[in-house]
Amino acid sequence: MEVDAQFVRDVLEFGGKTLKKCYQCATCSVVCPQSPEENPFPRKEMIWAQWGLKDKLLKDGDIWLCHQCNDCSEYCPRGAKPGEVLAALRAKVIQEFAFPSFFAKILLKPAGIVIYFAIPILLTLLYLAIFNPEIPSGEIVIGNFIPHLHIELAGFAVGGWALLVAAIGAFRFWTAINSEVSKVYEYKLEENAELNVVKSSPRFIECLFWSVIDVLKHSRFAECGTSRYRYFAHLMIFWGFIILGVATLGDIVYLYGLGVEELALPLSDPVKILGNIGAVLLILGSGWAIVARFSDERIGYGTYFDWIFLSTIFAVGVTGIAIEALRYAGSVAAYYAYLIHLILVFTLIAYAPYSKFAHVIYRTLAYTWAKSTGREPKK
Amino acid sequence: MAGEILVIGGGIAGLTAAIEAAETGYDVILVEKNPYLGGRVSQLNKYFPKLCPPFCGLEIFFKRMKSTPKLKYFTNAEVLEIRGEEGNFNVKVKLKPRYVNENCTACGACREVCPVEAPDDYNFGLKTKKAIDIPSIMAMPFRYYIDDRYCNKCGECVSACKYNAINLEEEEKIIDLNVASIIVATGWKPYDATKLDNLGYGKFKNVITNMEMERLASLNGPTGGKIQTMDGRDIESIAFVQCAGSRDENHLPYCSAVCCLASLKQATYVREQYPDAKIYIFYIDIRAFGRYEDFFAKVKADENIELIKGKVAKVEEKDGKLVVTAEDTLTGEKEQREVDMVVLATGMQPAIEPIPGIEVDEYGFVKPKPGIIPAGVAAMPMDVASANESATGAALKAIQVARR
Repeated sequence: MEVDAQFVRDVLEFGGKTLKKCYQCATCSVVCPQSPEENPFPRKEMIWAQWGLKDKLLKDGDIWLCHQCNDCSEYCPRGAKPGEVLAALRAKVIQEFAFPSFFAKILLKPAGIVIYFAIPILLTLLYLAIFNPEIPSGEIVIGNFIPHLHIELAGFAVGGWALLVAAIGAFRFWTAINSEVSKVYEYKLEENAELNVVKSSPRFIECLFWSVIDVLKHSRFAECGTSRYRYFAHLMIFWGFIILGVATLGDIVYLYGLGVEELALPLSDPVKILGNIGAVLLILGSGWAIVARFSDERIGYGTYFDWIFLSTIFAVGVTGIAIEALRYAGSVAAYYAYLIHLILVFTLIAYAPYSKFAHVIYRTLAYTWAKSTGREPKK
Repeated sequence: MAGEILVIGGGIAGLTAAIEAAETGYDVILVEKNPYLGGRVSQLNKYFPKLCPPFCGLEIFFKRMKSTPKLKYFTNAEVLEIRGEEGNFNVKVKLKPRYVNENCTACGACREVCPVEAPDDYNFGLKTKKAIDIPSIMAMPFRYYIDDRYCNKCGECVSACKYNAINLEEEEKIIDLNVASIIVATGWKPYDATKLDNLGYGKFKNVITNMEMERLASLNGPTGGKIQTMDGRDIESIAFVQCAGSRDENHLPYCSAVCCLASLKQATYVREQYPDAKIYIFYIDIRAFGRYEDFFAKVKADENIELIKGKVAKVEEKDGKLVVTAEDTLTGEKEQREVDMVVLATGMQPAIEPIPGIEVDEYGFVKPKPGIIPAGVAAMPMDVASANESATGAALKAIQVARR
């Protein structure tokens, strides 16, 4: 067991600044609605983090079962805020498992915001220099400015990259959480009364399926007490993304399936309606979360890691709606808004495996692991 | 009225300070807001670690008081304000009417006829009293008093009293005292357990506080000393919840210093009455300081007393029983125990109400300043033995000022 003092400093810096106040009374483990009966969390995580037991924490699926309801922080007699510490630990885990790790280290520091925006801005400038698209005159049609094909190719490239990096992180994470404490054993009595230890099947597919259902329904999130709003805000953002994804698929079907030439769709078009619902959910959900973070410290004060992700989502939603509004207004500003929107979308997708966005994967896998090892709270 | 030393509070610390100072020859005035002396200690069943009742100690004190003419005391008295400075304080004291004078022989005829039942604060509402009653069988002064929050002045008691001891027309008086130094021994009150919303106090009737346990176990308590659930059942299992409100930023941020030993002591009460009862003590740390370690070791050796390291954070009711949950931090398992009764080891909160001229710190404990000396729990949480020592020290300080 190795003690990593730098890890402790990192956790403090990532928002776990109250970590050292914990005196191990374990109130948190009992008030947490997500915590299982055996080896409950987050009390053990608090002492592991205080001691710098990085290895144990990287292999700990439990920190991903926390939805930061902050019931623990609310009842904590010491103001040690386990909810905040676990959020900091999750950020640290994302950074450790992301590939390449040094890039995650840069992006997750506030100073990294320069790189965060420099990459998409430079890429955009490069594109503009090479293809030199002109601002079209007449009716505002985005596709006349930058061809859909270019967007699609860029999308595949950036999305593909993100998926690859995320897959590496997911693999590392899954291996880690199944490596030690979480091993599932079955014992078989062999001849001569020898006990044979067999690793039981983690029933991956089955557990993953039910985990995805849980995620879609937010059923675990719904058990939170102190930050009840989080459930609603998160549900809105989550379904906002899904609906936008479906709308994007609709666009592709229009372009390549139905031969629609231009996506300057009227407001009454079903795909447009879907897109607008998604955008509104995204803006309202993230806006709510932003306002709530300012109005009540009990629900978490947010860290750079948290803020950059939340603001990016909000900004993507707002610029998306702005393009549409400017288009209907007939303003050429729509084209500029489009460029800004593209830059923001790039940061959201390309950095997903390094940002808070990665929790989609880590949490789903942790759910799967929890189901396969019976680490679900008693009802 | 002039004296040399004023002692505010007639609990164990105030009595000690007043008697010690008076026995050295100084004029001491003791004021107590309750109608009786003895304070919290008089509500206790036994002291730790010797497990002797507080009666004997109090009795010795009362005897010493009677043979010390230099000590005058007022019950039902409240200090309104303190002016002046070290060596020359002017203190305004309100004497609330007792409505019962020295003629009272405590025969109890008034109590028989009194039609008003009222909650008995001395027993934390675990039983009722009459509007005219005696605080306890150990009350000093041993006289009845009328609780005017409840009395409807019907006059039944006046006609029943053969000694002409009751005067319903008695009015409150304000007196002025001039003293050289002041000992503040205002003591403590139990922390309001209803604020601990996850521990079920006020929600489940068999969740009680440690002070209520003292009354239950006391021979002069509501059950005559029988420890039982609020619905009258015997105890098969019981859980003590340590740090109920203490060492908690949301409640009392400090350690109340006595609750660990008090619960260990109360475990012995239960053991004495129920040799087979299961007793669980849930704790964060057992703070049995100094020589109290031996007492802790003795209680711990009882195989039916289980000490579980982990704070109870949930109390639920299930089929008429209470279920407490904590994480045992030594094993990392969530532990649940089904019990008949839960005793919350609630901490000590300073009892002093704001008095102009007395400064308190952020938690409400009295701050010393020239001529004003806190003693006992008014200064900080402590056990009875420490309160005695603190009070004796305070008496010396007060004498130093009075001699100048």
